[in-house]
Amino acid sequence: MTQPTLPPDFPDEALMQAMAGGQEDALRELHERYARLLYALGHRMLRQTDDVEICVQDAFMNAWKHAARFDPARASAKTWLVSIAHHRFLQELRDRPDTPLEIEDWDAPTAAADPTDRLMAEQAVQGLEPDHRKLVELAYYRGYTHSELATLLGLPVGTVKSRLRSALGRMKTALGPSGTL
Amino acid sequence: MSIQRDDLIALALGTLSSQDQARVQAALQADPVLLAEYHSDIRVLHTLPERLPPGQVPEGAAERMMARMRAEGLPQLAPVTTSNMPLPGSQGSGGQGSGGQGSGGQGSAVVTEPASTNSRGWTLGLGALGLAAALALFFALRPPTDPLTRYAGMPGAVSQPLTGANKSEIGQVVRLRDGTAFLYLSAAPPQGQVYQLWKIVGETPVSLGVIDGQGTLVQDAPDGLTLAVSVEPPGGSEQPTTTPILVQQL
Repeated sequence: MTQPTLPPDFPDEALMQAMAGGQEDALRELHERYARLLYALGHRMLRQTDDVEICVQDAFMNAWKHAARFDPARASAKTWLVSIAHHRFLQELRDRPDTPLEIEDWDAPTAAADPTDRLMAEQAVQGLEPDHRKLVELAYYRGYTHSELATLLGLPVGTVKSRLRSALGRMKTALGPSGTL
Repeated sequence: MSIQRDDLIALALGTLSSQDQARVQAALQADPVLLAEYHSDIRVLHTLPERLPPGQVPEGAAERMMARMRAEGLPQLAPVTTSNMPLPGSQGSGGQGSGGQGSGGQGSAVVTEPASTNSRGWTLGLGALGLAAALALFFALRPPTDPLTRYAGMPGAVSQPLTGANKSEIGQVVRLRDGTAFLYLSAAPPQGQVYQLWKIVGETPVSLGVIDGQGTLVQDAPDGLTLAVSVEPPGGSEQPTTTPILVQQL
């Protein structure tokens, strides 16, 4: 089995370029860096462990196959990878028959993998009203549409939309112009 | 076509229907300002998982992913050259074993020889021959890169033809020991459309996703599973919108 040969400080964007060139150890290194984050996201979204590994694997395989399409001017490699995984988990959620709408309780996390990025994420949500934060999290982690959120929370659809707009605006302001991780 | 701010947010959240998704994406391609706003939404939203505690990675997960990667082959759209970002200690695209030996051995030995032009040319000629032989050996020994051949060559793999509506063979499915199956359609989808894979549960098609090109790996393919393929607009559909070109039980 090939062992990772890349230095740990090799930039993510260079890893993507190496993957586009078919370098297997770049994929392994990307997995080493971000598997914990994607598994955390998968467990949060799917709320069990059975299907998480295959979805995470799908996300990495997607990144591997399409690495040449990655454009660092648009997003960081990490954001790109998380967005691929998020999409895959949503697909998995939707493939589950008759999933009821529900408001879940989720304890606030205590420790994340990367303290700097965690701090930025905290900053992004800190300024949100609790009900706005809950709305964003339900939309993001459960993939509820505007009308589903309206039904779930007993709000008019217009209110759901305006709250989401407002929440995203505040998060952007908190993160600053780059808004990158 | 008017795109609302809410449409962009819904696209970033992944909550649009496939039809609306296609509509909004088309508008984004035509408007760089909207596109920049969408990317900004994406960046902000995907900070959220950073607040989660680190996930547990199952033991052996990296090995299983690497095995799958090797089975599925090289990335698509790979650049012609792989040397624009050389990596320390790596061999280029999959060139381990014979490829590595061949390319390492020749070059340095021949150019350091302080010899006449003739002998230098002779040495370079020998070097070129050696390199050609090494490359020939490399291409002969490396595993086939097309995924269908690779899957069909895996231990315990069983191939089964896929039969279209008029009883003609339109592709193959290769069932693997681990319960997965690789499905491959011989023809590319019509221009501007995609193949979408479905499993039939009872009488209801359940989407297994859009096929990226002509082949896809079905993760859970037990005996008796009925698969269907339809031609859909980019991004796929929530339910088949055309008559399936394939409905077949494994």
